[in-house]
Amino acid sequence: MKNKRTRERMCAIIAAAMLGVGVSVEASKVGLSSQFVSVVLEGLQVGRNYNLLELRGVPYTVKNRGDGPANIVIDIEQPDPKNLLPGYEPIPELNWLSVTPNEMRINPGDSGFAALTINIPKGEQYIGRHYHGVVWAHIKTTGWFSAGVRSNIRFSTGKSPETLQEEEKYRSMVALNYDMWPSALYLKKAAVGKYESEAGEKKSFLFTNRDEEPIELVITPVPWARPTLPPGYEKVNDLGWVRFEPSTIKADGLSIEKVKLVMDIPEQYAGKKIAFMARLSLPIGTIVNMTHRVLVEVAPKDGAVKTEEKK
Amino acid sequence: MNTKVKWTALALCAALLTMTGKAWADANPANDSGSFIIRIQPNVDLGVTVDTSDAGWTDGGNLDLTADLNSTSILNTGVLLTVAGDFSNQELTLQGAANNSWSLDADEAPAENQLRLYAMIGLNQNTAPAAGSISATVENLNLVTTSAQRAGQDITNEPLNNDTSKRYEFANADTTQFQDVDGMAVGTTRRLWLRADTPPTTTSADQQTFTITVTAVTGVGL
Repeated sequence: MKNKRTRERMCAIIAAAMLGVGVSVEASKVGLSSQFVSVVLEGLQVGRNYNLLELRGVPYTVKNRGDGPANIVIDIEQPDPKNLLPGYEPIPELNWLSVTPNEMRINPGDSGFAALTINIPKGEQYIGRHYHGVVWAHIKTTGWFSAGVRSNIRFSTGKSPETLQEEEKYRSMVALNYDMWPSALYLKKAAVGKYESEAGEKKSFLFTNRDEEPIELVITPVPWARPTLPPGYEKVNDLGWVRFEPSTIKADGLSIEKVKLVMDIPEQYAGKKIAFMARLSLPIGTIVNMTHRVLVEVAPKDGAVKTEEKK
Repeated sequence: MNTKVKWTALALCAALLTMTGKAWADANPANDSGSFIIRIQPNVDLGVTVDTSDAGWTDGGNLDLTADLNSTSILNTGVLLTVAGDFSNQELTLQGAANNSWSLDADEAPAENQLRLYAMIGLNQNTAPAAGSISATVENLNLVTTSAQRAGQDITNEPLNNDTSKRYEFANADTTQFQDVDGMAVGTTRRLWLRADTPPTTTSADQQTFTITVTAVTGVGL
């Protein structure tokens, strides 16, 4: 009896025949693409509407790449905060962007066109801001699978973050008069576990500020980014166990700073030769240099003297 | 009277000259509604296709499924995903929708009328993964929920590809299933696998349908 009840309830389970029902428009392959991928606008004014199709002849397009007709819905979304580019904030309201028409039926292989309008309300608080919105086109179906495409639209009421960053970069670059030596830091006595370049081998980068103005740069370990590795060395992608000390170089005018390497080398690198790079960037994130290399020979397990032991 | 006419004429001329000057040389074109800068990535087409022609559940043979309550089902053949267009830095998001009275579980705790739907994307091959490998070291990570979740690394962690925070992606050590889903080139193919864990009890005798939307998005920095 209990089994019977269970069986009765079983029919509640997933999909089943409904899959075929919801998919009168669904074929075995569904697909969408858009040529409206990433658009950036700057110099917009508050209290105005910008129809990109009318003003610049730029349509929002979506193409049905499936093998059956598809009903497409185009929605406006706020971006996931994790996917915001630096300097941008989500559009405050979804109605800041609109697409007309926002529903269409497209045959396989064909494209649909719509007009995207940016609607910025009046208000001084919106001046000089940078907004990010998302346009999501997707196939309307009740079948198991649907396809979609998300496009990014970013706009500024004033100069864009990219333009402002370029200007800042230019201003900062003019004042950057430094060098860091050596261009390649070779460490040959490293071992699994905690290891400091200065304590272990008296080796560090020497950062020289040749300008009379102070300099502040962030130094970060990054994976090897050159086309070829030195013979015998391997690239390391996960560098969570490496840091530079200090991680932010604050050098007074006409001064020298020592930057040492501090590692907690995982066991998996025992007996290996590993390579990565040092990236220098402005505190605002602009990369100014990524040419310095770090090449580390890690002794086989139990085959070398650690920093602490040397002391 | 003549003086008044002369002043009026002069004022009109001055006004006309002023208007003419403005029309020819706008000192600040940026303040015109039609004057703004637009930058578009040229000749780019971003998209994905979802091919279910071979896909089916282990116990059903196709995508129709009848299963016991409190049971686990896995796709026997995965759904083929292909990166479409001409843009070679693409990633995918998965987003679920419950179309009837059941809902999609979001916390991996068995509950009435909630379907726990897991997804994994990996190598384009036809051997189904084990149920245990369609779960994550981090709780809830591989559940398909009603909000869009990006497959692969969290975008702030790329270009790493082996941390435990990656979503809908097999462990690197699982060489029969793993293949990176970050920054994919056009034409890249992957298999999407589903695992459906039915609830322990239900209050509905109706059939339930769910829709998973696979959406193409740009990769890092775009």
